[in-house]
Amino acid sequence: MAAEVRSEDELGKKWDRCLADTIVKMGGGLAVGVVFSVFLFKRRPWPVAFGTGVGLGMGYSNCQHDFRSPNLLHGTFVKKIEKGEK
Amino acid sequence: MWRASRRVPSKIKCLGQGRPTSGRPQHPCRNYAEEGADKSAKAAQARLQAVGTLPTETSSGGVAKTVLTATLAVGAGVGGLTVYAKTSPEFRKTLEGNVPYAREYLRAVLDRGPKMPDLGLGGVVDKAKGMVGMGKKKEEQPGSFLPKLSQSKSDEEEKQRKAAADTAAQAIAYGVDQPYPAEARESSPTPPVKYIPTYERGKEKDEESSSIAVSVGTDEPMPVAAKEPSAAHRESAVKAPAKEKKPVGVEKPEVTAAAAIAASMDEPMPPESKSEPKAKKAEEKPATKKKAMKEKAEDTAAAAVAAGMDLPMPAKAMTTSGEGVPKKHTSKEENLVETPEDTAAAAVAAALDQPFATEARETPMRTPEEVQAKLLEKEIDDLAERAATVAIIQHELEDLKRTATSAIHAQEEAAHATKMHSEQIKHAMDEDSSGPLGKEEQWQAVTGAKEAKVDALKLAEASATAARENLEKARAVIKEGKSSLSEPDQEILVAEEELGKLAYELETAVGKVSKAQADAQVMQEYQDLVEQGRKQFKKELESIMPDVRLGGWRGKLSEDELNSLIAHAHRRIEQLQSQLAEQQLLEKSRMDDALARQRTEDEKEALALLKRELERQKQELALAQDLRIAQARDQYETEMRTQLRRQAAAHSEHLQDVLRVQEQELGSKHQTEMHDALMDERDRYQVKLNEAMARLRGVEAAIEGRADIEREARKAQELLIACETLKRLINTGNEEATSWEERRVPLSREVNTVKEAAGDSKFFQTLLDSVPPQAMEAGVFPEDSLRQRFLRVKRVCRRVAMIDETGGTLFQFFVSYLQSLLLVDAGRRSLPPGKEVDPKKLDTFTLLSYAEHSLENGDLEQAARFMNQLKGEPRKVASDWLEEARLTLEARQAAQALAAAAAAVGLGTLV
Repeated sequence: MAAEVRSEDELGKKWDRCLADTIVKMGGGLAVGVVFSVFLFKRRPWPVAFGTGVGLGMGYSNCQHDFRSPNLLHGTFVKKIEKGEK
Repeated sequence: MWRASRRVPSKIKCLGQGRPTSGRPQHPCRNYAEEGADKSAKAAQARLQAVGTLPTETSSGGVAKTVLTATLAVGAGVGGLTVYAKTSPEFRKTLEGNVPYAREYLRAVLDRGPKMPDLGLGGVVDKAKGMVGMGKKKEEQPGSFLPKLSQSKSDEEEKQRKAAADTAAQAIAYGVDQPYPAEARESSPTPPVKYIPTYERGKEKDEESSSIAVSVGTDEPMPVAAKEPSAAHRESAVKAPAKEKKPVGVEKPEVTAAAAIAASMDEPMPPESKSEPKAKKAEEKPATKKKAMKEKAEDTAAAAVAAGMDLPMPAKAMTTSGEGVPKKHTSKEENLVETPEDTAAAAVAAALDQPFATEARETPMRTPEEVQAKLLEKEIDDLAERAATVAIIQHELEDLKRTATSAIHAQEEAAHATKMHSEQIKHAMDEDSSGPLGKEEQWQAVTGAKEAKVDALKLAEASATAARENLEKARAVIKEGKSSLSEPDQEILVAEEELGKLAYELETAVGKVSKAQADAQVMQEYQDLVEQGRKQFKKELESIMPDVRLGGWRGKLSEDELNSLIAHAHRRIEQLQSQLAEQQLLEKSRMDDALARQRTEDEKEALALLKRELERQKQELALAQDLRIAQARDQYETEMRTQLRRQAAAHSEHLQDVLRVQEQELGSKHQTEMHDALMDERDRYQVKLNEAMARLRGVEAAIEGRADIEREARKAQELLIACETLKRLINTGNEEATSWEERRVPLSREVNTVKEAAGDSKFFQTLLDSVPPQAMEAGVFPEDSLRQRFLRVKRVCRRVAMIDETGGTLFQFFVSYLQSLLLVDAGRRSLPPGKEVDPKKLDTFTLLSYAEHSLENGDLEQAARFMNQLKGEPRKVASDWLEEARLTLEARQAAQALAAAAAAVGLGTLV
């Protein structure tokens, strides 16, 4: 971690993370829905919506969880460099 | 045309490039990007254009062409002329004469490289040698050659480039000293003129003079040819373009000496020559001759002395004249050897009026060897003088002898002739004894004899005068010799003796002649008398018989004439008889008179003879006496010399001893004095040194004290500066930063500087320690940055104002956000002065508001305090900011304290 996260930016970051996560989940859900819709449900729209909704919900839930317990730390995977810097 | 089709000339601007130049048709710019597209069309267009604009193109190129052509032509012309000038010198000359600057140009172009040294000097020298016919003395040639060479160098290059023989011929003509090359080479053994220094030149002279001395000593007549060129050679050597360092004045006596020698050489050679008898000249000659002789004699004397001293002196004068004095002797006593040379050369130089400083003469302190050398010198001098005089005298004597003998011969001849003449007269006078020979012939014989007599007399007279003159000369020389020398030499006395003898002989011969002349005179008188008588008789006869002439009998005489003649004859006879008787008587008396006269004359003659004899005897006695005196003197002289030498040696030894003792005494005295003086000096020096040292120490102390103060002051200044720097840094941060985030600068360096500047002070150490380490490492935000940051923090805080530490749901977040939107920031609230703030009434928004306000006023501390009151999520959000603010505040506090302290210290040092 080159630069520390400032406390005022922490929330922002949280929100970013949250949003990103939500979008990802939504996208995932969408994708699953699409897949389901295409392959299983004969191109009906509802799996897509459903999947998206699921994604949204998951994201929201995550966000909330994150915001509720702010003292939990999030770790990231860092590539190991030769010099041993984290 | 072809060019146009290829490219557009650069001069012509194409359309589209800047402003088109007026009056010139433009080409369309070739756009190479479009080339591929419509190349052919463009090309065609360009070609058309080109065709249309051909004349202008050529006209502009034409100027260049003309210029080029002209240049080429001129260059060709010049080049051709140069080449021709190189080949033909006359042409070159004309060029140089007529064209300005042609010479310099041609010189620069044609004459390259160094000419002079490569002219083939060796070849020239060989030529010169060949021309003169000399195989040796190579080193002389360049010596005399070079000046001529430098002169010819300044000539035109034409001459240079011509045969080197010209310069060689020039040089030979007047450079080399060879006026009589061939003769001198063959005859004279002496080497030609060399450029030698003065000292050696004297030696060279000795060589020549010694050669002459050889000739003189051994009485060998040297060939005329050799002597003449040598003398002339000498004169030419004198006249030659001299590179010698001798003064001119020296050359004159040389010339006179040479002339004298030459003259003296010339004299004995033609013995019959009649030299002008001038006594003055006679005296001059001996003088100069003596000097010249002296030189030669000195060498012989020196050689004799050296030989007498058993020194291995090479036979320089006695044998060949080839080996000259310049040869160095390898004897032990070198100074002794050199002094003869020195003296010889010195005497020569003295004769030539040149100051010659030999070492032997100049040293004040003489060693016994030197004393001996001096004595030797004197001896040699004496001997030389004597030898010289003797030689001269002998020479003169020989001259005299010759002239005297010749004179005597002449006198005898004259006497004989006179006698002959008188006899002839007598014979002629005698009428009876004529015989078959006619009177005429007799009288002719008489006249012949008379003429012979006259001639002989003249000759005798001349020779007598010559002999007498020589006699005088010799006498003068002897006199001079006797007077100049300290004691007369034996040889001189002998010479004197000879002189006397010769004089005597001469006088006797002259006497004989005079006697003969007297006889002749008597005869002459007799003849005259007879003649007179005859004339008388003739007259009488003529008076009586005028027709009859004696000896002219023509035919027969008449009786009367005969009778008268007989009568006259008788009368005459009687008269004559009486006369005869008278005469007889007279004769008797006259005879007596004559006898008496004769007696007196005889007496006189006898007296004269006696006198002469006496003179001779006297002379002989005197000579013997002188001889004896000379011998005795020699003896005494030698003895005295030896004694003097002994005394001199003893004296020098004594002197040496005395001097040694004195030296020691003086030395010791000097030592003590020196020592004392040295001690004094040292003490004085020590005192001064101490003084100086004390002063120096005082100065040092003062300086050090001052230095301490200075140091303290400097330290304080440094400290102050460092603290100020720290403070400033804390206040301003990194000025080059673009955003507030980067304006952090680690304080460690400045803090370290302050630490260093502070030194040992505990106070400062404590203060420095109070600076938070994080500030040191990471740095501290300046207030401006914090202020800027605060805006964001405030915004975020406002948005999460409703959420507490435990976190919140998204909905709460959303609501809080809504609240923040709805709550309007009514401006920055300021704390009412003096009023206290109730912490319970503070909520996020007010706090933020207060904080902002205080920040605006620059009160970070207050802002931090307010921020510290935040709770819940806003607190978390603002925690970093707060931390930073705290750091900043701490650092600032520390820095301010430090600065204050430093200022205090600094102020203290100012005093």
